[in-house]
Amino acid sequence: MSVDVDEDRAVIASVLAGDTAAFAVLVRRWQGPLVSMAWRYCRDRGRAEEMAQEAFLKAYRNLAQWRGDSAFSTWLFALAANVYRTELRRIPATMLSLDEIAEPPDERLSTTAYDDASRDEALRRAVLALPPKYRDAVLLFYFHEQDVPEAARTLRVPEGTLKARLFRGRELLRSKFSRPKRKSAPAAAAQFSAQQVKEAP
Amino acid sequence: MIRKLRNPKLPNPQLTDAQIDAALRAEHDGILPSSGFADAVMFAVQSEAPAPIPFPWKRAIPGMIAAAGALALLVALLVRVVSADRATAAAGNFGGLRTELAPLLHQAASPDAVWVVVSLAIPLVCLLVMRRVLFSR
Repeated sequence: MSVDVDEDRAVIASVLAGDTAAFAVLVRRWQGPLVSMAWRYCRDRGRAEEMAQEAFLKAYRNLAQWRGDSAFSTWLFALAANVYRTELRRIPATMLSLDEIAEPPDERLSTTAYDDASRDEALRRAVLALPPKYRDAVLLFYFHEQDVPEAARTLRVPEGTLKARLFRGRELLRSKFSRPKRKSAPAAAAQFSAQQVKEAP
Repeated sequence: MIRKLRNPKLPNPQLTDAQIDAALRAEHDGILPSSGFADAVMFAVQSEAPAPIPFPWKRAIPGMIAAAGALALLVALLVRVVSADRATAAAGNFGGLRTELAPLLHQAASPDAVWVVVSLAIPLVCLLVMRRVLFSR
């Protein structure tokens, strides 16, 4: 995500001066990260694009509020994260459908590779079932390639708060995926999602 | 032996941070936007183009302060002229205000003053129309 900050600044000045078409430069430059971030929040391509479009529209409407004291990308990601959180509050992401839950592997046939891939996918989905503040911390930490300061800026929280939420989020995931009896990872994720839904007010 | 086969020793099921990192790292995740995404966004942006950007108050504030200062100065001048006129009237000389305002009234009646008024009125009208367009949506 290398950024030409000056170029962003020049484009924004053009848009603010009335050149609406110049906004396309910003859309083309930041569409990948914004859609990718939205995908992490909902894991649905169509919805991710809708949410990213909403984030761009909100950025356009509020462009004059970007003060220029931080990188445009920081401001844009924070705004997008806010839009995505609001959207998920309105319509929560689908946790797991029956089709997406793999058959429990036969232990006699199971391979380490299958187990790892299956567990990883289940883990990624289980993140969505975490309480929102832990979910956001985990999603944005990995979205920003494990950069704590950047993730903290996007969430607009101190770095210490982000680290504490990350720790707690990881602990929750660990507790749900650690089992005394062998159980398939997707089944554990499904159980975790169901439990979170039940616990939700 | 049979007992061992029925209960094979499993690897430690406790997830490590490294395993969580590996599962959630950026390179394993994310999608690319579809080809028409940017166009769709720009279409949506253009659709609401008449009301794109909020009024840039921060940039306008210095001008507003200058205008308010000029207005205050004008009011102060008028107050001064009027009070001077009252003082003159109290002293029995009724020609004070007329004497002060006579050159101003003379200039106001000249053709140049009309252009000054027009040039002041045009930005005012533009500002009012712009505000009406912006806030009517």
